[in-house]
Amino acid sequence: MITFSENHESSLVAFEAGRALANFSNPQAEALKWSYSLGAMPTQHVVIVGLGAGFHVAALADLDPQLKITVVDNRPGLLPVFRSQFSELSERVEVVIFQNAEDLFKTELYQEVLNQRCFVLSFQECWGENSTVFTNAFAHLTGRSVESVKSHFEDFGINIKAIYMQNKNMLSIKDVLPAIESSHATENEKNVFRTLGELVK
Amino acid sequence: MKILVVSLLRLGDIIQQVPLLRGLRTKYPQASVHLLLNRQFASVEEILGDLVDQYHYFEREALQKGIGEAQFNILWSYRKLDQLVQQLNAQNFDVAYNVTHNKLSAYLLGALNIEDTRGLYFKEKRFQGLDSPWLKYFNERFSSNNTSVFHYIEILSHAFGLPLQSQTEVLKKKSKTVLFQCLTSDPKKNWSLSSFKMLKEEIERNLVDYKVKILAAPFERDLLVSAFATEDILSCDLNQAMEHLKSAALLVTGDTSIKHLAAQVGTPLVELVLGSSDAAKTGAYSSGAYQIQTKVPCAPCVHSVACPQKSHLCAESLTVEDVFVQVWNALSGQAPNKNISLMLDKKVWELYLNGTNSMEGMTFNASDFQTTEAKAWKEETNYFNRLQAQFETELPSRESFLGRKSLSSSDLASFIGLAQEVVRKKIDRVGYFQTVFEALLVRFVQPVEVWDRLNMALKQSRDLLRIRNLVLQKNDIHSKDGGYYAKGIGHLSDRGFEEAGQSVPRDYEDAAI
Repeated sequence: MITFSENHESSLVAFEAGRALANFSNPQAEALKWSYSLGAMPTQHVVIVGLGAGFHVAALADLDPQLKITVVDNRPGLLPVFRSQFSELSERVEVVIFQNAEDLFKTELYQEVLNQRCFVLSFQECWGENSTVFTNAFAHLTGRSVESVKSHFEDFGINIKAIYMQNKNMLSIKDVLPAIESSHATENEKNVFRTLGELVK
Repeated sequence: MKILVVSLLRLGDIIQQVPLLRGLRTKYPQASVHLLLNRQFASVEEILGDLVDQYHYFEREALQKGIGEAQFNILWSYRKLDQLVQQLNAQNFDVAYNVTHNKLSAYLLGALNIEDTRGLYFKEKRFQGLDSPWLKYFNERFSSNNTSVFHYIEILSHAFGLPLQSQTEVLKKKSKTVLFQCLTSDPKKNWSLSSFKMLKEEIERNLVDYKVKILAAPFERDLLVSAFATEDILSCDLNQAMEHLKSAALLVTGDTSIKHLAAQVGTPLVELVLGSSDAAKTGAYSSGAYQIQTKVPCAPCVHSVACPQKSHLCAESLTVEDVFVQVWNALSGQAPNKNISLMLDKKVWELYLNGTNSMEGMTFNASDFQTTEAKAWKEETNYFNRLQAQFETELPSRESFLGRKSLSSSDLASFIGLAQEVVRKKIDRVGYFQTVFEALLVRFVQPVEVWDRLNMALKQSRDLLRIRNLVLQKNDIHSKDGGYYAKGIGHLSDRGFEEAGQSVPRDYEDAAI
């Protein structure tokens, strides 16, 4: 259950099952620290897994005014307070609410992620009781889950069964390379993958 | 004409490749030369000047980050690298030279649409580009710890047909500054800072006019202040280091990029060859390089593997006195010691790899053949001839292998025993019989394939020894000529006696009578 509590700076901090989804006494400082730790963003559009109290989203938006930000979360109760507390972000930040991580596959956002290979961020302090769901959402969006490989690698016609043999939560390119070798990808495409394979040896 | 040079190694390697880039400029003066290198070594642009027209960058660190960090889409690095491939393809290069020679560069070249690729590349599901005997030699000798008689630069210039200018002329400088580059990229290759400190004191005590300064990259400074006074440390970037080197009398260094830089700007240097560094393969390519190779049996060791010894034996075996002697030689302008045996081995291999037995154009200095080293080389030749004959005798007939389903080591016991003895005694320094030894390690389905491989390997050693004997014969003719002249029975050549240096002048009056 989501609740909110006002701190000494009159900021509303979200709680889930009695646990704060941000640092209660100084959520802004915590968020700033997180956003500075990320360095330069490698893509123009980033996806943040977990809305929480929203301070980290605001900090990142403030740090890079050109960045397009989409947030995914499965707790609709967080949204009204986020919108009212950070009203200046209404145009800049899109929030996608899902129930199961697999629901994301059907969204427009997911298609956009596939087209743009968006960078995906996580602010795990705000995940609360939803760690497993958010981990899955993160893996689906980055193409590192077995279930998402099919769509991320659609252009290369890889043998998905080979990937299902991988007993891993988070795949890396190295796990997919054997499937690429037997895929319909062109030799030039395969050579690009082989080059990447040499970088992870 | 547009040329792409793929150089995806480290900073020192890129600087080392300068003679190849010069060769490319000389061969194709009108061509536009593009260089692909790792982004983190972009500072080398300041050094390369007009040898390169345009640079392209391989974003190695970003790509590795994209692969290794979970936040990145699994195909982010793919897309990034594919962009580089598209960018390079858009240049429509006529020819590509791969001076990197590793799998990564071969795959990358395989992804590019360049009709003419020289050096290693991966196309049609296999590695290609090793047709040149020089590149085969490069592949065999540089991809393992095997010895090479040729320097990296020499091999690639032969393989790519690039003219190689004589090594940078080293001028004796008026400067009284000796520079030290103490730290290398690998602790295994470092001589201790305390030894460098003692060497500094030795130089300044014995050569009172000279002052020693320490070159340091900004990140090395903190470590160096523990051994040297702050005012003696020259903290600098690559370009500033080059300026310091240009005006210095001498550099004392380990295996570093600064070593190659000194070689390129013509500064004499004393190179401390420690750990995995191998002066024959990648030492400073300069006529003014004085190399001190450690004599410990474990050197040169394997690259990128920590020193397995209890203490750093190679560095400990090198004394301050040893290094000071070379510093003294270099500063007094004495030429580095000539390695006659290596020079002769090089002649043999050069003829073999060029596929010719002709001695035409090969020049030998008669006095070189009078040295003890040359005499030892002659004795070694005789020994190798006997060894070759023994190997050929010990190899059973092909018929005895035909139709057999299996083979055991006892079938080749005496052949293997002979090979083991040669390896154990380390007699074959530069690998005349290396392919024979390697043939014994290869697994085949049919026993007769083992015979074929051994026979082919013996043919190679036979060919090499035939050339070696020809070189020796030429030497013998030289020596005998000298003998005839000494006894006054030599033929008078058109150009007269060597001693006179000119023909006997014609007497026109006498001719008229």
